[in-house]
Amino acid sequence: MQAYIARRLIAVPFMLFGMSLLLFWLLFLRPGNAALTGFGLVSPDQNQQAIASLEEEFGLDRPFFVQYGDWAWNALQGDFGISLKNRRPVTPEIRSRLPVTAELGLLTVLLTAMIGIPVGIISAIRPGTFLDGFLRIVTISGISVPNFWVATLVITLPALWWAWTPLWEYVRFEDDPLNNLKIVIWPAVTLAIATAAYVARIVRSSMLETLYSDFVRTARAKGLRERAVVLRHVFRSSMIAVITVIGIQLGAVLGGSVIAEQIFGIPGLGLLVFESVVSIDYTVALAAIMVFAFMFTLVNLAVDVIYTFVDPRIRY
Amino acid sequence: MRESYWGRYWRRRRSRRSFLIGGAALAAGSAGLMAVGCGDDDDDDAEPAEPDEPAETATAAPEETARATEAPAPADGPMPGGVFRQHKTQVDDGIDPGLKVINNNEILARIYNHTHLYKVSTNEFLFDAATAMEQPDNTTIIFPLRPGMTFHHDGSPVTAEDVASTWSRFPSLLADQGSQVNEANWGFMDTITAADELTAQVALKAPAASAPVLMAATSYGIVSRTLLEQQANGNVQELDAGAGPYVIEQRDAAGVALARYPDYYAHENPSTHFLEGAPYIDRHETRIIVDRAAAKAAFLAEDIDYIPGIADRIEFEEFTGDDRFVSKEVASTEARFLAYDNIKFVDKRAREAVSYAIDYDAMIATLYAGDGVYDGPVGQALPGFALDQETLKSYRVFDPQKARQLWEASGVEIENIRIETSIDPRGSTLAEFLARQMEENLGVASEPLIHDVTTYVARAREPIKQWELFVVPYNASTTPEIYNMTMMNPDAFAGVSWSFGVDQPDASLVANAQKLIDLTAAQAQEVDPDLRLELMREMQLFALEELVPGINLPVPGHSWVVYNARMGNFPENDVLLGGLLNRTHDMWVKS
Repeated sequence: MQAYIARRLIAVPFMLFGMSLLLFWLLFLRPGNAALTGFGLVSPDQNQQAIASLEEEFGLDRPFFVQYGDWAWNALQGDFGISLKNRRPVTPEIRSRLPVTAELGLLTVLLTAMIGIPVGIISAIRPGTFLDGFLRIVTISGISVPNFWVATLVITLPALWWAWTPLWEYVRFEDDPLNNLKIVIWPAVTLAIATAAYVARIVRSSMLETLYSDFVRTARAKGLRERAVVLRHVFRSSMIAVITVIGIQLGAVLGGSVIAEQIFGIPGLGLLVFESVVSIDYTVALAAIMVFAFMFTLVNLAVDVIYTFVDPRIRY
Repeated sequence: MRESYWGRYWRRRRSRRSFLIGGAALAAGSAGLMAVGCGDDDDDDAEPAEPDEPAETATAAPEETARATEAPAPADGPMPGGVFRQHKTQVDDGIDPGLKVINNNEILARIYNHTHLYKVSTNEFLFDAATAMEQPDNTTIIFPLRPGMTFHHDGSPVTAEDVASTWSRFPSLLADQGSQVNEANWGFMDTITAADELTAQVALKAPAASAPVLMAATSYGIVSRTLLEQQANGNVQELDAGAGPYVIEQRDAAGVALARYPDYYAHENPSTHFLEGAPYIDRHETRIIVDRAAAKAAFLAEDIDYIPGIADRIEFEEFTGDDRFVSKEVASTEARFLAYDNIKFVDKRAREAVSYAIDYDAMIATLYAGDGVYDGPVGQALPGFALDQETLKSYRVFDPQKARQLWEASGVEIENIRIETSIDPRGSTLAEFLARQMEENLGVASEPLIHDVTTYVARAREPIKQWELFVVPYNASTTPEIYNMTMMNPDAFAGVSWSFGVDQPDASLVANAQKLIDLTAAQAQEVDPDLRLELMREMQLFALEELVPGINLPVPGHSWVVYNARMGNFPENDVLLGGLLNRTHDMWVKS
């Protein structure tokens, strides 16, 4: 197990290298950049001078691989450089925003599990009933409706109907936990709707498959209560699929945080990605996306490790 | 070495059962979180917390406190105190007024003080840090400064040296640090000196008719020279170096909160918008709300007091009839410019063909629901300088047959007219409309290219353009030179972005550019108002006649302002043009 984790951890830098190279290249291809488009209007001659001066200052006049190498070397040492847009160091900005998105992601995953798993179980143990049909409609709707639309409705409709909106000024968890949760719960619910619906579908199909297995019939035959059969035997056997899906969905949650944070005004990493990509602030965009990639890699590793706890047959 | 408890804990083998039990406990915990999140929000409507030192902040000016505590004002009269809440879409990039002027106006306008303010609706100068503005000759402007002004950071007095050092920085900030302040805003100044401790003197390079208006901009906020000299990079990007009525209490990714500066100076000769004492409002809060629908929701829920950027009459009417809000129709401040990539349109017939292919009346009917007017080089937002409708209409004729003939006669080899614009709905809708016009009326394939703002700006600035026409929706400004004429000035936008500079290879293009430069300079340097108007008219007619460097398209007939009814004395006529909202001291909050 430890050897497996070590092998996976060794692979992480290579994955991040490939990803950073690709991202750097894609951002490099875009016309203009934050430093060059922000400055004021001058005559054509001065425009060229100012562009040359800024390119030199930020090293944008160097070849692609030199720029990338410089960035990667500094990033390895925890220094993501300075923002092209506002000349502020990127690392402290990432450090301050990461916990905000991590909290949102964690809360979303918790809600996903809380909603998706019970709905999936209920649907599976009552197949073909009205309740099952209803829950299937709900879950398919949840998967089908894009989360940016749900978020917009969650904010707009209460404002139109009751002059109220769940859009409050953000406070950090460490400053005011209760108010922080009141703010973050709404984007988390918004993101959890789709992921919970997907998890519910997976739990249902996975449990239905298991419910008719020989070992389940044996469990029933030896007189176990139905609740014990379902939760201890059937659900546990379905956990592998559920954990896999939740792990993958965390990636969707991280991606979704870009939209949710933008709509709900949550100053996390997702909002930073949005702002930096729109303003072509390479250094910030790269750093933020790489942190997302790193988080996703670790989550996948965690999912693989959790498998061994859930299913004793799995050995690495 | 003895192993610690935590070491043993982490090394302990965990059973699958304990893992599953732990997971269940976590789920139960999260259910609790849900319950918390769905709790009531009675406290959300409460006034935001007072600053840490309410006694000091509330006693910014003794007479203000007296007004607040001893003589409560009538319900519809001025009411000291309260919080004004607004929003913006992006975090600022810095707060040095000479360096950064985007996304930070609500900060710069309030933490810095300025010599004066220009009120465009009444065409008057209002004095803040200066008590007057004297012009002994056409190239000298003198500002006597108010005594008793002090900087926030150390309480040191504001002197003419501070004014001189602040304003003298503009060229170096642009050349060395990529300042966002356009050269047109300060390029007319030659030297700025301190005649004595409280007298700043500006020598102009040449007479500049718009100089007093331009010098009222937020970028002219007075920065502490001492603090500036202490900075290695020569700017105060992250520091409050001002002497304005408010100080920064919070400034982060969630928003900005400004509280009163306790030692704010008195205005002995108060005028409209400047009170004798401190501003009425105690505190200003600005939240970052990126999404437009979310901002509207916050406004409808009365979480913010003002919603800028009402797009059209349809959106305006969403708020009319609701007594919680004040909805006002004001003079239009919009402008729409269609630029040519002039190097591809050196033949005047090609430029004319494009103009004849546009059905301007159809544009007004479809894009502005019939409520639109023709616009010229100087926008309708400045009626004193703008050309009349009949004159403008005579230059904007729709004739598809003539358009095709002229296009063919010009011999221009453009098979696809690419129309670049940004994701701004005003621009993208217009680009789509124009593309259809080119296809239907000119018989040339056309496509709108809609990009995010940064890409759009970059594509304008590229030396070789990847478009033929460029749509720019923008808001007019307080002077004809800025934004209106800047779009057409070969020394500014037009030279850099529309290939309309004197550095171009085509002789006729260079001649037109030089002519426009000369005409622009002549009117800018003419300080006699009547003569200036004549020169400005000549300049506009030349641009219309030659169709350089583009076409001023029709604009909406009105703009719209919507704000919460709890705001008193809201500067509705100046809020869109001139940005007076953030510098008006006599606005109050009714509750």
